[in-house]
Parts: sequence; C-alpha cells; structure tokens
Amino acid sequence: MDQLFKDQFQGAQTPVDADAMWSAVASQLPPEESKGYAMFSLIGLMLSLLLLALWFWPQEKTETTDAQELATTQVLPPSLSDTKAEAIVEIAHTLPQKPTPPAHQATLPIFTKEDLQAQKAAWTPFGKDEFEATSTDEAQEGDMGSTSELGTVSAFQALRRLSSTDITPFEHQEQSLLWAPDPDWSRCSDRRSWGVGFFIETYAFGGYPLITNALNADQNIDYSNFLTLWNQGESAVSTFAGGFMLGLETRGGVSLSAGLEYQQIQNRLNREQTIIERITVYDEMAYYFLDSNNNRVYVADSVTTTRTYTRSVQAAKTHTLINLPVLLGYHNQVGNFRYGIVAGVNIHLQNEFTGKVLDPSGQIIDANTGTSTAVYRTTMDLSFMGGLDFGYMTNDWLELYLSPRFRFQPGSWLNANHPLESTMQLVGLQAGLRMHL
Amino acid sequence: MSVAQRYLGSSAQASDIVQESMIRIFHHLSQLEVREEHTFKAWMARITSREAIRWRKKQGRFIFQEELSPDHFAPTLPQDVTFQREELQKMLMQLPEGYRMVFNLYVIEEYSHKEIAELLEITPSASRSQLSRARAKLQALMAQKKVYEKVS
Repeated sequence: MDQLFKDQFQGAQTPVDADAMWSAVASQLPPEESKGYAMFSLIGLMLSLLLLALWFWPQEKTETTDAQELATTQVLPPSLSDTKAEAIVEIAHTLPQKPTPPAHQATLPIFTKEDLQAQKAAWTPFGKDEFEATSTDEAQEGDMGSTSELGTVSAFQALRRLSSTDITPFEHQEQSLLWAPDPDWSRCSDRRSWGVGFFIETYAFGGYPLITNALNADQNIDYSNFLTLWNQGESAVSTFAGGFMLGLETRGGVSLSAGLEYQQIQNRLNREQTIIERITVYDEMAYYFLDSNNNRVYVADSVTTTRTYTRSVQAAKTHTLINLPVLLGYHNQVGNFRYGIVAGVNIHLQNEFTGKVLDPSGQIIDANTGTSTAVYRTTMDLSFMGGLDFGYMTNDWLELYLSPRFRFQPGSWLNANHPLESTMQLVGLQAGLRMHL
Repeated sequence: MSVAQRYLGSSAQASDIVQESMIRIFHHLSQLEVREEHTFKAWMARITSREAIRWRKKQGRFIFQEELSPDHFAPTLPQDVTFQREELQKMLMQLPEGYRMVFNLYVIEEYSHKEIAELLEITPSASRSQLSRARAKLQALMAQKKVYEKVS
C-alpha cells in the first residue's frame, strides 16, 4: 500500500496558474542586493595599502666594494666657475630649491697642467699674496667659461676671504638650515622622511556578546501568540577573534590600517517545552470488577492515557565569521608608553553558523548555513568597532598593547521574515603586537 | 501544489502555502547546489511540506488521535487493486490530521520517525503509532471503496 501511494504522489504535479503565482511571489521578493561594488572597493583598498606599504618599506643600502664603487662612480672635475663666495650665503636661503645648472656645464673645461699648478698655489696660505682682491665681484669678472688663470685664481681668492671673515661657527648657524627638511629634489633613499611610517600588527580578541531581542516591527505579530511560541531565549556565551593588520601612520600619530580577521561567536539556546502526549500502554491492572465476595479483580489490558511532561533544551550555536577590519587611529607616545584611540568598521565577508536554533514558528531546528531553514542572515554587511589603546614600546620598533574594544552591529542577525529582531553587541579585550617599521 | 494539497486539502490554503514556499525557495536559492533536476524538485517538495506543517502549527496545536476503532484491524487488500490519484487524495483527506501528517512524511516524503518526531514535536513511538493507525484506516477506506464498487 505504501508503494501505491508513493507511486501516485511522488513527483505528482498539479497545474497552477503560473503567471498569477509569479506576480504574487515577485511582489514579495526583496530587491537584488549588489555587493560587487563594495567588494571591489575593499580589494582596491587592500591593494592600495599593500602598495603603499611596499613603497615605504625602508630600503637598505647595499655595501659596495671599492672596485665596484670606482667602476660605478663618475668622477667629474670640479668646476671652479660654480664656486662663488656669495653662493654660500645663498645656500642658506635657497637650500630647498633645486639649483639650476649653469648653461655652460655641458662644456666643462678640461684642466691643464697649468691650472692644477695655479690651484695648488691658491691653496698655499701665504704663497700668493698678489692674488688678494677686495671683492668677490672681481672673481666674477673673470671669464668663467674658460680656463684662464684669472678666473681660477679669483675664485680661490674669494674662498680664502670667506674663510677668514664670513663663515660663522656651525652652532651659530640658522635653525632653518639645521632643521631644513629634505628638498623635493632630494635623492635620499630614506623615503620615510615624508613623515609616514608603516606598521604590522597581530592580535587576539576575547569578549562577551550582549544580545538584545525585540519584535520585528515589519511584521504584524500578535504579542500573546508570540509569547506562547517563544517561551525561550538565547543566551550569550563567548566570542573570540584573531587577525593581522597592515597600516600607515604619520609622525603626528594618525594611522590607517586594514587587515583580515577570523572570529567565532558562541551562544546557547535555552527552551522549556511542554509536551502532551497520548500513549497506549499495557497495564496489568487496567481495570477491575467486583466478584461475588465484593473483592476487586483486576484485568490486564491496553490503556490509553495522557502523559504531560516538560523538557528543557539547551543547545550550542556557533557563528564563524571572516572579517575585514578597517581602522582609523590616533596615538601619542610618552616615554616608552603609547596611548590612543581607534575606531572603524568591520566588514563581514562571511558568516556561517552551526547548531540548534528556533525557526520563525518557534520550532527547534538544525540551522546550518545553506539549509532551507536557515534562521540567521549569512550577509551581515558590516559592524562598527572602536576602543582605547594602551601600549608599551619594548624597543624602537616593537610595541605590546592592550585595548578594551566594543563592536556594534546595527542590523538584526535574524532573517527579515523572522518575528524577532536580534542584535548582538560585543565587548572585550584585545591584546596584540605592533611592529613599527 | 500537489504536495501542499496532500497536507492541507483545501485548494486556497494550498495555494497560499505554495506561494510562501516559492518565496522561501527564492530566498535560499543561492545556498542550493543542484546538479540534477530531480534533486531540485525534491528540495522544493521538502520546503513545501515543511511550510505546510509550519502553517498548520500556527493555527494551533496538533491533535494526535489515539482512537481505537475497528479500522485498526482493517482487512488486507488484494494485490490486484488499483486506485487513481484523485481517489487516494480523497482518502488521505478523510484521515485525521495527525495520521495524515505522519503518513505523508513517512511514506511519501520518506522522513524517518526520528525526523518526524522532531518536526511535529512528538516522540518517535507516537509517530510509529500514528503511522500504523493511518495505514489501517487507509486500508479500511480502500477496502470499503472496492466493496462498494463491486456491489454497485
């Protein structure tokens, strides 16, 4: 008989008005969510941070041997025509500007033997008194484009004059000269001179979820009926997360970082069920009759009775999330101690769950991600997070920190058609290592 | 639609259930990995049957009858009898609701007694009991039908 019913009903189809059905169904379907743009933006942000990190990575100078250095170093003869007495004064004011090479630099003079002799003579302190001049203008009057003795000697003469009169001791020079930043045209290999550093961070977070339940305002729910279906609760157990961050920080203490995080949230489902069951049992004393002596004679038989009992259900439920945290921070350092504040968003790339939950009608069901009876949203979008940072620099680059954090999820974790709106906030403590590179 | 009708009978209610099931199916379509058509059909049927049960539960608690009637000792059917689907559908609708739910779930949807117990919030032994009574009642109805046909 079972087979007869199975054959007749399995795969049986009843014609329906498909157009009418579709119009009714389509009106209740939510508009398609486009997550492509957000996803590409995130990938772009991560790539940008990675490229910036590589750009700011300190480049170590490779040591070269003398032979290599000789082979690769282009030795240019000094151009005496560029050496002017007033040039030193100008340098103090025009240091940040790239000097314009003289127009005649392309045709540098080739020093003759006589030139070298003249230079030697010029450097002799008391050897050539006849070369003394009264002003540097005289040096400029020489033919700078040639190798004439006059030009050469005038320049050195000017230098000698400066050495005795114009050059002030180093410690008395202008602060602007001492602390001038690298000019734009600097070829200095230390690019951090821009004032931006790079850091890598790894951390672990442990905390406690706070669950808030409320009736779903979008659904017309009879409250008394709801209470009879939902005489149960879901209590929080724990949450933990671990991950890493890559970030940039300015000398002013402002930082921007992004990373990847694994997170678990564990809750417990509690419910007391009242079950009324009608059962048939075999009883040795099902009923009795009175015999002639007025004694009870019991007769065995099957008896139908009602059994009422309650059962308490407790089941674990675990959410497993993959997150992409993006944080903005501000830190200050006093001695070896650092303190600061961080805030940002945690983008949930994935939210999967396992365990027992209650479906919208109040039934305890297995709700694993991917089943048709899933109660929780798999698309959590993003949550907000923030906290205070307290760190200690063990050396120039390694920081150990502790940070009380708060994570706020604005949306409900339950599906939109659920009679409840359930939000979950997490509070906890984060500990980590931060390497400032 | 045929699945919903098997549980609820009424065409209007069945239509509502199919509509709710379709919405649920569309919501969870992305989570389904289907490689063959019959797998998809089975998945749809499963959702529809669960939706029908869910809808029925919202109307109130199930009543699982434990009636001890002569139907329980229904005669065995001869092997050569045949029935149309419409006839069987009518017989299903004559069953008490608890019998019908359990019979549909066990025989046609191929749920286990344990699964039925969880779904309907009864014990597995109650599920077995309801099934055996449903079978007995159906056998009795089928026998009556055949006797009536022979007489007429």
